[in-house]
Amino acid sequence: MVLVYNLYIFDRHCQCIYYTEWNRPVSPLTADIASVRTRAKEVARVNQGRSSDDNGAASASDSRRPLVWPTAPVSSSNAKDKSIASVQNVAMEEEAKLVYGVVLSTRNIINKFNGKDGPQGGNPGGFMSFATNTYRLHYYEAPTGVKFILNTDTATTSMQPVLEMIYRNIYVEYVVKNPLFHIDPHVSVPIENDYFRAVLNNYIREISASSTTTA
Amino acid sequence: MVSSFAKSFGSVLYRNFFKKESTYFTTVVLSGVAFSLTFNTMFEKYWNKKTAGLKWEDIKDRRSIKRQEEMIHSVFIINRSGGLIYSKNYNTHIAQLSSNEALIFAGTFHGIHALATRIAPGGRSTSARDMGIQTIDTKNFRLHCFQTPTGIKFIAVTDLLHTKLTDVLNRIYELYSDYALKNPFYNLEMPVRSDMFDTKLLQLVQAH
Repeated sequence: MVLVYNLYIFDRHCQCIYYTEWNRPVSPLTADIASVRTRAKEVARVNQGRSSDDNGAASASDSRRPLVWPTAPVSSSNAKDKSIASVQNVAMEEEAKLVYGVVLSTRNIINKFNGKDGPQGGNPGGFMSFATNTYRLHYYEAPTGVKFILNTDTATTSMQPVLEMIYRNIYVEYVVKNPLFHIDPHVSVPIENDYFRAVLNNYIREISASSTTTA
Repeated sequence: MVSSFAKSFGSVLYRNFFKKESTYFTTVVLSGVAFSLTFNTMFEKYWNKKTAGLKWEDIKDRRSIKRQEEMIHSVFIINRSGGLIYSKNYNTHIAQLSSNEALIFAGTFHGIHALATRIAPGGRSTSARDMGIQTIDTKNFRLHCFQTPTGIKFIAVTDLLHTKLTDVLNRIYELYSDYALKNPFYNLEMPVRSDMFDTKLLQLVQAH
């Protein structure tokens, strides 16, 4: 039984291109959505025109599907493109930056321990995971510099095969091989592929249900 | 024909070996020695072939390698403000950090230890409060950290066979309190320079 909390995917430009969560009690995403909902309810109450049934239906359909972020291009290295940062979830953006910072610093000090601190970066030291008393963060870096970060419960020791599987059989198949894939190397574009989301979601549910996958 | 041959053979044998006591004795001794030599060499050859790869000479190296792997590579102590107050490397299995790199390591680790609590997926206000990084797993080694209630971090870099090092880190904490803190000339938050601490720590590390 693996309890998977959330998954971050970062591209080479240190941008979070995909985030999703499964069993997270409190998160910037839900907090934001909750505040949006309360605001919507207030608006509805003020207008007195519509009942709150619409809100209820919307939340039910949301809870079945995992939350995903970002839903639109957050930012890019080009200054002029920053105007398209339409969805601003500051808390989520900051959390993604924190996660990236922690993981990159950890990777770098481990590379130092291995005496392989090359200028090209990468993960020659083989940083796999770190654990605190409440969660374990698993890290996988693809040769192209795409980084996968998965948070699980502390008892799960190795998710390397799972992350490699996500990269090889889900990310590459559904994102990179997509003919509409954004090839411009200077712009980071969030993953907005519904097939990718669905397959990833199914795969994580499969892992969560079975106890032997990662043993 | 047969009997005459046996008779002549017997007489030859008698005349050459059994007639004289000294010849007889020498024959017995020499043939005994020859038999034991051939038997020993033959049997040893057979035995070596049968037990190939299982004898002590063959597995001695493998055992010593395994013993080398089961060890603590280095120990670091970081004070409350992220400064390195003790660092010791015990072997060459991991790269020796220069003093500058060790200081950078201490500062970085202090930072990520604090930030790891902020990115906890359980949230910061839940009942189980996150206490920061306890282990870091890598391909070649595992890093264990123990933070005391007063905020001092004891870090040990070990091989992958050590899964839980809480006892050892607690023992290091004891040694630190006994041989560094109880020293009247020791300044809090300053580097530990105590020969007694060094030797006791070395004993502890060698025992694990």
